[in-house]
Amino acid sequence: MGSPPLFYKWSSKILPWLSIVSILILGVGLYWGMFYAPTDYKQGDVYRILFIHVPSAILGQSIFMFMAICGFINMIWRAKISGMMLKSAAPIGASFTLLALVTGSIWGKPTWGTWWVWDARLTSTLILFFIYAALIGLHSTIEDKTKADRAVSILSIVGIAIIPVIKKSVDWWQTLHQPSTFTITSSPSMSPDMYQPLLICVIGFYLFFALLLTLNLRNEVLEREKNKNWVRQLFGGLS
Amino acid sequence: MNPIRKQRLYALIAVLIGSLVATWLVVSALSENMNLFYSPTEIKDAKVDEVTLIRAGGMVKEDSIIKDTRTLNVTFTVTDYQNDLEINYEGILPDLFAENAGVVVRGNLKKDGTFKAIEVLAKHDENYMPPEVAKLINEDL
Amino acid sequence: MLNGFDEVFIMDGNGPYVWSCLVIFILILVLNIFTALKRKNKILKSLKKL
Repeated sequence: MGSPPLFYKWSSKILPWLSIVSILILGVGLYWGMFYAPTDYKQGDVYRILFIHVPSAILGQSIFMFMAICGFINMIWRAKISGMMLKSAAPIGASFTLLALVTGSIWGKPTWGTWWVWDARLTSTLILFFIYAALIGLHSTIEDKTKADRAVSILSIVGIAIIPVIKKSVDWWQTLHQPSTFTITSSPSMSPDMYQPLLICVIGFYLFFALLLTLNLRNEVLEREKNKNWVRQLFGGLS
Repeated sequence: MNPIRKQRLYALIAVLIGSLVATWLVVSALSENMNLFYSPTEIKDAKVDEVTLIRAGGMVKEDSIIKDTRTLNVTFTVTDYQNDLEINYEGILPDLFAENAGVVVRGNLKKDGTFKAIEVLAKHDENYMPPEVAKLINEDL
Repeated sequence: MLNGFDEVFIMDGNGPYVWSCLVIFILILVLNIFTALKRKNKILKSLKKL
């Protein structure tokens, strides 16, 4: 799938399946979380926001790592598709990061008693959102798409340093945000009938990201290759 | 890998390391300032005047909450299990405010060592479970 | 497990917070899909003109 025409052909086949599966899994996860998961002993039902908030935050950070890897490949092998992938992923990552910030804020009001505090976790996540905005802005200001891809590649590799800071912020500093529920070293401090739907939601979010990425990437490919023969053959403009 | 790619790889690794080191420097320089609140122990050792707004945080001590029945006045003790800090507050408390739960308050440290809070925020922890499970755990203790 | 309208939608007064999160979530996802489809139509239109 390294070459644009091959990707276009191949993605046409999987697109319907990806749409069905991602929406199905996302629906099951959210329905389970919203209606069937038990109420929390302390927070009551407001904790159900985590079925949206936690996957959004995970995706916001994962997409950035994905972009940095694309940037890396783009800079070393100069594979055209990696640059387009990088560009296509940025608005999705920004959307999920914004979603994490907004849902977190809505969660904060009834539980903490405030919409926002400048603690380390919240501030570093806001910085991540600004980096996404900078990546999108930078790409749109450079006319030459190949040059724009390279500039964004470098910036995404530079920006990757924010990810460990977000991850460890709750351990390094005293924050209002609680520490991680899921860690590698110990068993999760959440009961199974809550983390099972959460896991389904996370998988659903990843699949939905794959769907959005495919949609954006197909557009990007068509737009950049519109003067190539394969596009003309596909869409009949054989003049 | 051909030599040009190898060269690009080294350059990128240099960029990555540079960025990580720069971020690490910023993080360690900010270190103290990024803490949202001070613990009772830190406040005891620090010299803070009466007008400076600061945030204090810790656990609400068991049996320390005294609510005035007629007004919204409430007094409670925040502890970091080494030192205590007495908090006075007038206003509505968040839902999750409770004994043995985390709390962050904003206000002034008075000369007599008590703390006059203008805002009380509840910290919630990383544990999630249904009420039945919570009950079982409490019985085990 | 939640039963009944009150339990599901009001959630002891916290329902609006939960449901507004869900609405915002769906809104952002739909917006992402919508912009992608709109852009596709625009590209296809310009390809027809060639």
